[in-house]
Amino acid sequence: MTDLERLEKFKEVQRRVNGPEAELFRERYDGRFFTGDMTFIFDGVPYSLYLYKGAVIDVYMGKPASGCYVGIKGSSEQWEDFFRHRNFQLATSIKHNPLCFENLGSALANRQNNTVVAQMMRIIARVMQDG
Amino acid sequence: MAITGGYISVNGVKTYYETNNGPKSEKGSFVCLHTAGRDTRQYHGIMELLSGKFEVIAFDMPAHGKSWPLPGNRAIDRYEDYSAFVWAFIQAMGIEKPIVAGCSVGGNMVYHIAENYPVAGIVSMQGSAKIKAMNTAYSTTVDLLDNPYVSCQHSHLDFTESLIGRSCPPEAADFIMWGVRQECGVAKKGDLGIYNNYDVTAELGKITCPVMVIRGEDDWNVPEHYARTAMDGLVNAKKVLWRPIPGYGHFIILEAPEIVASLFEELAAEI
Repeated sequence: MTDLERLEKFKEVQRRVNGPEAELFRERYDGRFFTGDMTFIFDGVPYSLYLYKGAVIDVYMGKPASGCYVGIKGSSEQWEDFFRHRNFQLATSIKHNPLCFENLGSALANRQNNTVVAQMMRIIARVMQDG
Repeated sequence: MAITGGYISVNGVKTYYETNNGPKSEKGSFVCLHTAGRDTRQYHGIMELLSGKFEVIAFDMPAHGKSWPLPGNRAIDRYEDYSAFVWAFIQAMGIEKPIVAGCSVGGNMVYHIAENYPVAGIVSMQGSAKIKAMNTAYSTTVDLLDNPYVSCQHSHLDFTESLIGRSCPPEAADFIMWGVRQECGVAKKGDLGIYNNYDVTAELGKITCPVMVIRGEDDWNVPEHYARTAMDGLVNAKKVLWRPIPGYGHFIILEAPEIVASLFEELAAEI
């Protein structure tokens, strides 16, 4: 997948989060509380989503001008591993995963938004892998 | 007879317990320890299933459920203190042949309890004799459970959900998730500090009672080698029964009470 093809996938993520996934994302996984940026880095290429109260307002390649608020950074190998098991907690577990993802942003922001980032990652996995 | 509850003073702490009012068996009575941050209700299914066969008692550790906290609104945060409190509860209740069963942090604690106190048997569920994850970056996660800028309840939702097994009935999964909503940061931090800074492998040889080790196999956070840390050292136990359960996860006592109750009976037969 090229970088631009992946950007198109993120635009599909935006459609899903704002459409068929909206209720689950906002209500069960607390997306309604999230306003700010989420950044996901694939082999050094960053993709950012800006959300307002759980709705994705903007999608772009690059990091937010204000720096990363929350997000995940990983290699292709790490992303492929996550796409296989889709367990965000395992993918970010220092205890259990020697190849765990790197969290972007502060420990505090990541902890505060753990649940909503996890759900976003599962939607990304479905879009990237399942079409 | 239905489950009933009450209070008893344990080391000066007003402690809430529940019993199924089952018959006192010559094999012993089950004393049940809840998972990190939770309470006695996790054992209701098992208590009801065994009500005609065994006395089953569960209690809320200090700062959990309906028990009072320690003075200064603290929770227990050392495993030696945890074991001492459990034994003090057993003594206060006058339980003569305790079979101590625990899940998660309780599943760890049963090993230290059996090393130091004369129990009739133990059941370790989703437990280990050694987890050393504190003093790493993981410690930050535990510290943030009691941070004024983090909701303990909301920040742990996905983690808890990830631990539930594929075969868990939806109503049980709902109650497990309700358990997260009711957690107290102080209590959870105390438990996870114990759970992740635990090593009682050196004295496992002191355990002579029958031991049952249960693992819901869908629990990614307690891999099989965690259970092996204990089983490899139980060289003097009267019997070690290893029971992996496919399809179920970390909260096996809520996810599959029928299976766990039948395993409790199996262990009792060895006593």
